Amino acid sequence: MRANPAAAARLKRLPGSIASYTIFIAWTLITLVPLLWMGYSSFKSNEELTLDIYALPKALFDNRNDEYVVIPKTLNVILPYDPELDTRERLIIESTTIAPTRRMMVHFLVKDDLPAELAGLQPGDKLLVSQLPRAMQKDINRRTIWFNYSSAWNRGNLGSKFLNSILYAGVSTTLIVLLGLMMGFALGKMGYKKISLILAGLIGFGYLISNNSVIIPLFLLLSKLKLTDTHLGMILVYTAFGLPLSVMLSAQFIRGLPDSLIESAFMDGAGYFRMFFSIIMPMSVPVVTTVAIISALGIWNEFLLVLVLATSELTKSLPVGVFSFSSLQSTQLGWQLAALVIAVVPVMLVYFIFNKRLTQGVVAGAVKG
Amino acid sequence: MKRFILVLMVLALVVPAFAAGQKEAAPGQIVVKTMAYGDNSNPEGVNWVRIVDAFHKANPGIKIDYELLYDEAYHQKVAARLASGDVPHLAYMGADARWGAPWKEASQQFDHRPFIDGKVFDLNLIPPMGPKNEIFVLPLGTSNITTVLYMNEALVKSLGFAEPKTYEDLVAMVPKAKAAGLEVVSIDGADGWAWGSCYMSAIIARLSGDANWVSKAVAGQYKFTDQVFVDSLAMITRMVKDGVIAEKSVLVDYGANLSTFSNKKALFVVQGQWAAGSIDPAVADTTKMLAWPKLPGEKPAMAGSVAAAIQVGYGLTKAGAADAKVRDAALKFMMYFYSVEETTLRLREGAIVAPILKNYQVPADLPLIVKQKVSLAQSAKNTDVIDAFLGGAANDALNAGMQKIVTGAATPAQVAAEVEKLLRK
Repeated sequence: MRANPAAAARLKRLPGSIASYTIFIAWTLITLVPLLWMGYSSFKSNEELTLDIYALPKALFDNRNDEYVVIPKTLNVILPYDPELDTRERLIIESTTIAPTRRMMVHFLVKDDLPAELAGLQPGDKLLVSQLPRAMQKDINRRTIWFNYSSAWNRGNLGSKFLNSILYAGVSTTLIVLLGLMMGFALGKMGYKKISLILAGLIGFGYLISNNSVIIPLFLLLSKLKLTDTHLGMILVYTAFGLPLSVMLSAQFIRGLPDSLIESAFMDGAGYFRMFFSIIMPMSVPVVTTVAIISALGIWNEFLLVLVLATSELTKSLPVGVFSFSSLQSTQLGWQLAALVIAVVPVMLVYFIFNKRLTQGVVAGAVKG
Repeated sequence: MKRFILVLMVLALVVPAFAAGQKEAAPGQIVVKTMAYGDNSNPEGVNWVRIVDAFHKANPGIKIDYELLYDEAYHQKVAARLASGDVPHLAYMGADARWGAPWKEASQQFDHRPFIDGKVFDLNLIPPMGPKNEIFVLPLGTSNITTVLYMNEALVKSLGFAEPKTYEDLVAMVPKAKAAGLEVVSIDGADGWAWGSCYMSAIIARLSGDANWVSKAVAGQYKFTDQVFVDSLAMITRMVKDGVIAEKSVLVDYGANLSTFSNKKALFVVQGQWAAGSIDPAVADTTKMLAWPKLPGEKPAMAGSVAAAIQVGYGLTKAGAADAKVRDAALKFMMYFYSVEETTLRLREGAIVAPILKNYQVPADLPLIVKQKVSLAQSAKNTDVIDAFLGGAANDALNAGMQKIVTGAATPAQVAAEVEKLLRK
């Protein structure tokens, strides 16, 4: 009896397939499990995270019968309203189970909206959420579930840091891509081979310089130029650090484009700018995509430069905001995880929306570059 | 393509707009450039933001333009700003090797004595910090005890023991604690500084009998290779061998250390006085703050001693004092920051041992653990904190060396020799 050749071939491929799938599945798990853990843990109270870091969230969701204690209006109770404008009397209550005594899970209930027996409670008296009017219960329920996120967003001033991250990543990446492509065009297609070689070498040398090694001289330089703690200063620094890679990849890619295109355009009377914008740029989409992804992700996640070069809250970006929840004295893990989710979600969204295009761009860039 | 160029033109117009004006204060406002200490999750940082907001509201003519950083990020930024000449007017600082050295090296220490109001601050509680008795910083409180042994009294009693009076008492707890799945003494050994500041600072004074052994050794009067220092390092080996300190403690960081104690997984925890406010309130109610019990080879003169340093606080720099308007604005803010109300809050939250304010009345309703802290500060003899005198590579080598001793990667004599060599280099 003769063996089926297709079956034999399948059998021969089987070990390889098993190994491939094992590696793919393992890699997927390595990538996804931390993200999943981060996601669900961002809804856990700090107490839950301290007790068991792998358990599913419960305390922030199961809050209908949470106990609260009435506290006095002391200095460390930060009012979410202006007492000069809003003079309504309030009952200030603090959770006895979530961050107790730390003045973090605190609610300010308008006494006029409370039944008389609750409005008359004094500091030290306790009450359950279920005793409150339904609207207040709903409000506390919502606030408790989103406790980590609202705390991270408000205390870390993540809104402005988010905008700064978008500004730095957006503008710097645009400049890196545009200027890198221009230089790549010059190095790859203009007829100054020896100078191009020297310039390419010098630019490539810039790629070897790490942030850490130049941070103090950079700080001194920016101080002299009055550019520390400015958006422009940060954008220039990110652009400068991103350009070497952009120039190297672009030059390599543009060198591979047919010279006849440039020559035809030249014969048709096109200048260099016309050639660049009408021929080089449209044909360089793969390398543009590659450079844009590498640059934007790098800038979005960059921590050290912005920590040192930005001083005020106005100029700091998301990574510094995330870091600002981790201290020696009282690490609020829940807040930090919520801040991490806030920082990661936009990148994931961009990836999911442009997944196909990004993959094509990277592959094309890799092959043609 | 046209759209792309249009976007670029818009960016070219918008971006420079971001470059200018963001640090400008309102017309007529005095700007006090400040480096503050804290982060968004600890009371120091949260209170700082609250205090500045309230101060701005009460003093619209002054802007406290601050940068809030914590731990190593703070120290790195201080170094960077001082190196670049971007010197803050007001900063969180100290007067020792860790907290004072950068300001001293940059010649930015400013003597506050002429400006300290003796009616508000008790000058007897602010120690001299310079060779001419200068006061470079207003400490947040009196001495900062770094070598506290926090005891979960309820847990210790549940195993049938009482407060330990000697090291042998601690050793006696090991078998029962291990059987119950508990650590005896938990230390955040992954943090090198904890070994120096919170542990060895107490041990060397006890064994040498000299409260100022460290400062004298740094000055050259003693050597770190002296037998007494090697013996002090060898206490680590002994404690690990006896099971008093776990070998795995080199993997435990600060947060995990406090969690272990707060979760009733350890009978004792070693930390500074500042950690009192971070212990879970339920556990804090049954916690006692102690000095290390009598150690083998301890000299009687140092019985019950704790290591303590001058507490850090806020101080003007020379750059800040150079302009009278800025100086006065900064001093006004400091009066606000050190007010009775804010100081009382710091005391309640466990951030300080005792205030430096004149005629301060300690509230009767302080939490139990805070009362204990005050009591410990009043009763225990104070000794040198290592990193208040030993800095740079020698201190780093000592901290890393103690971790190596725990894991058996180095001997006490090797670590002592390395520290001595680096110090005298």
